[in-house]
Amino acid sequence: MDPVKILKRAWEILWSYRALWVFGLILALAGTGTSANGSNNGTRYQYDGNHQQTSPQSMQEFFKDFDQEMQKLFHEGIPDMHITSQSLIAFLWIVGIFVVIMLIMGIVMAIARYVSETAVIRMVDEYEGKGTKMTIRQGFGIGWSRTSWRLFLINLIVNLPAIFLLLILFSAGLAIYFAVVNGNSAFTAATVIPMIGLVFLAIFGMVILSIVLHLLRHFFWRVCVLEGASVGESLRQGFAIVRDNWKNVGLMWLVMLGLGIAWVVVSIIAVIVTIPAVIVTSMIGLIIVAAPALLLVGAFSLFLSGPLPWIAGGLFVLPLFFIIAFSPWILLGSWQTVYTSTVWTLTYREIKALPDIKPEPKVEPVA
Amino acid sequence: MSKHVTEWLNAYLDGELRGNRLQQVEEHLAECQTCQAELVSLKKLSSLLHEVPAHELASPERFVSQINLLLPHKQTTTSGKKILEIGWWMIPVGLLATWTLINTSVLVSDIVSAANRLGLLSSVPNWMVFGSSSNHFWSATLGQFGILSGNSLNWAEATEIFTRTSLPQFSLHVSIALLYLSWIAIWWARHTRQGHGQLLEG
Repeated sequence: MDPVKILKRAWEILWSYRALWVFGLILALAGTGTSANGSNNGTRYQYDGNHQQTSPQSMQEFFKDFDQEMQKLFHEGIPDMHITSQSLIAFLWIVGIFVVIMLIMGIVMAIARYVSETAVIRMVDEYEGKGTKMTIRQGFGIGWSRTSWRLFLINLIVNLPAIFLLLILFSAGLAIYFAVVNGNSAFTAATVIPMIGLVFLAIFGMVILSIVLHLLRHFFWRVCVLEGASVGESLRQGFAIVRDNWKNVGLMWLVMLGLGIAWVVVSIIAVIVTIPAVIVTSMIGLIIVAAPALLLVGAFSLFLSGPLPWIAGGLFVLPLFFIIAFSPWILLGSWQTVYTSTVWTLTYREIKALPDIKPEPKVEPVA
Repeated sequence: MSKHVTEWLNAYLDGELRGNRLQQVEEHLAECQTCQAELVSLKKLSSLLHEVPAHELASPERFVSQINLLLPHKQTTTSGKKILEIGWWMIPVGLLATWTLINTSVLVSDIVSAANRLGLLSSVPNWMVFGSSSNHFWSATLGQFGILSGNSLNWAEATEIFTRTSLPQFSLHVSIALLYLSWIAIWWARHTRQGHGQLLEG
């Protein structure tokens, strides 16, 4: 297997097959960054020795005060800003509706994500195999299948260890916190050191496992989509493929990681270069969302007072504005997503083709 | 796409294929670019061989011995080379492991700091809690001696905090990224050179 040839071929496909971009846009909007592996990206919570420690008792007092403030707020409203208590409650209802709409949108985007994943894999395979390009409609047609649901299940299984560890760490943290708050236990040097070591090992192991599982996922998904296999069969076959070709897969993975780092550098430059384009799209976005925003503000002002109608109106149109304003950056993300998916589809095809090219049988010389 | 037909291409070119096999190869060639490229290179080789006048061709025995002389000696892989090769592949793996270790340490440090802030580690000695020393010790000292004051002291404090906290982490990430990219660049160069070498040999 030649990784450079695969990378070059994926590059050609990316630019010659524009229908893939649409699915890439959906994937980019759904936030399926391939480089993100759930790591801490450099922002660090710092303990400053000059700050005072928050004792459990002061935390309890804080929550008590917070509760009192909230009750006062809902009884009196905010008179300085001409916001009545009824208006505040209505605003909270609107925020609740917004959250529900966002949740529904999240589910729709999740469905669209797996449909797009399926479509991109199949479209690239079809193009590479038969040289035929599909339309966007055909892409959606092949993506909208049971396979998408299987991809979701595979993704869930791949992420399960991380979810479990997070839950365990969170539950342990909560249990420890309440034990200390209630005075049932206290930390000593003898308990803290093993605990830190244990947490460190658990997180380190989890990160490594996640990295391996996310590598395997490329193959689980492709077995599922291209062979029409069930979830269990995809996991089994995908694992067998990676195990039998671990050198090729490992090399491709290392190269893709390198490309991921290079992409971060390129995308920082691209983000700076495309700032003028983003300014233009932001203006277009403002023009597009202005009318619906004003309509919403008008409607909300019937039962909200003060600045609340503007805040509520802004809340509803902001997602659309962000999509339009940052569309150049979303497009960059879509290219990266399509390229990565194409590379792994081509890798899978190459690996599947490898065992078929057997060396010619040796001809024994006639004595 | 069906399986590659590389093994049948020579026979196909020589017109030796018949029936289903011929049909299978033709159908595959129509859709597979890899095999098409392979066929083109075989045709080129064939035409090159045809251009050589017959009288210039040596006897089979002489031809074989000449080829044997021209062929590079099969390199025996020494244990030293093997170690070097393993070391070469361990570079990116080591870099990734270092990156994971750094991020895990940062995460654990954050958890400990948060626990300390919540007052859970009040009975633990100060030296055990990460980052318990002041992040602007030097600027504060300079301020106490009256060397820095007002805005300049604030700037000095901010700079010292940045230098002590974010800068080392940022530098580590950038260093690992640069080392990894260097490895990729060297790998790419080696790969390209090997490719050219293979082409020349072929």
